[in-house]
This record gives sequence, structure tokens and C-alpha cells, in this order.
Amino acid sequence: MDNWCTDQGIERGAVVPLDQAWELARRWYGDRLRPDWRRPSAAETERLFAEVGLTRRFWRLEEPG
Amino acid sequence: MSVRAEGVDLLRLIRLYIYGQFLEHARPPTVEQTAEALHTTMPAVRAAFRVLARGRVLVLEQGNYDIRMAMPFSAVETPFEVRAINQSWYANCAWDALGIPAMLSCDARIVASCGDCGDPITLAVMDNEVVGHTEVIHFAVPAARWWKNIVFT
Repeated sequence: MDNWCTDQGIERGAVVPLDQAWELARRWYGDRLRPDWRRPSAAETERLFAEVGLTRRFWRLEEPG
Repeated sequence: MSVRAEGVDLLRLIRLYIYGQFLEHARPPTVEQTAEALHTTMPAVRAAFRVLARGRVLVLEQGNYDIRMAMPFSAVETPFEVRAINQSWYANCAWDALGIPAMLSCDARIVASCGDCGDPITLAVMDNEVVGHTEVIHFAVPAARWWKNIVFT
């Protein structure tokens, strides 16, 4: 992954296994078609990240993601 | 007629209409189509699109009111194709490719290309689980900066 980032000229970000990414997708998009859906606040989003185990500084939000 | 005058109901209707059009046709509606379908005016739809874009529900193309993204859907071709329920869509990124079956609660087949070697990758979502191999998703941009340049993100 480090070599790939170097080749791409980007910094290494967060590497997320498929299962964890799927769980995040389910929680983030699962209610998107509900008529009363609203975008989660920054705090709610950080909580959601934490619930799926994404707790590094990388996942902190100074503003809604 | 303004979004404010009509309250949140017009925003809600427009948001759901956009998703409905993506689901059915794999592309977003234009301002004109939206206005006609919802029996409202084009200025009201443009105002609603602006509100939804400010609220990070939509991404509009620069300089006009064409919808580029209604997350997780992409209006432009990307390396992340999702096939499900006799339709196929483009997602904005690898994670959004998972977002489509997550949103629809359906099985899906995701055809993507490896960011490293360019080889095709096929993933499946079956019975509420993702069936892959040892693939990982690389999030390049820290969450707090996703919206500084959402197209790059």
C-alpha cells in the first residue's frame, strides 16, 4: 500500500477492510431513501465512524463529512 | 415561488425524485424534468438544488445545475459499476459502490478496477454481507477534508 501511495503521489490515508467498509456503508446509506432522512451532524457522523471501529484521528470531523 | 415559501416538503420531494430517477434510469433528472414532474417552477427547482448542494446531499457540475452526484450515485461513468435488480449504476468511489446495495438492501455485483494494477475486481453483496477476497478500500482524504474537493475524494 505504501508503494502504491508513493506511485500515485498521494499520502497514505486509511486502509479499511471490505467488511468494515460494508458496515459503514450500511449505516451511512441504509436510511437514505427514507422521506424523513436528514444528513447526520458532525457529532453523529463521528459516533457512526466509532461504532464501526473507525476511531483514528483520520476519521475526526471538524465539520460534517 | 421559493424553497423557503414551500418549506421542507419541496426539498424532500425533490430529493426523493432525484433518487427515484437514478434508481429507474441510472441518471439524474434535469431541472426541467424535475419541475415538470413535481408541478413546480424551474427557479424553485434550481433554488432547491442549491440548498441540497449546500447541504451536501447533491453535487452539481460547476457553473450549471446538472447533477453530478446524488451520493452514492454518480451521473458520470466511473470505475465503480454496481449491478443489481436488473439495473446498473455508477458509484462515485469504491465505498459508494457498497453504498448502493446498502441503500437498496439488495444483493449486488460490483465491478471495479484495482487502483493498483488496473485489473478488474468483482465483488458481491449477498444476504447482507459483502463477499470479497482480501481487498481493502483506501480512503485517501481525511474525513474532515472530504468536502474540500468532493470529486477528488
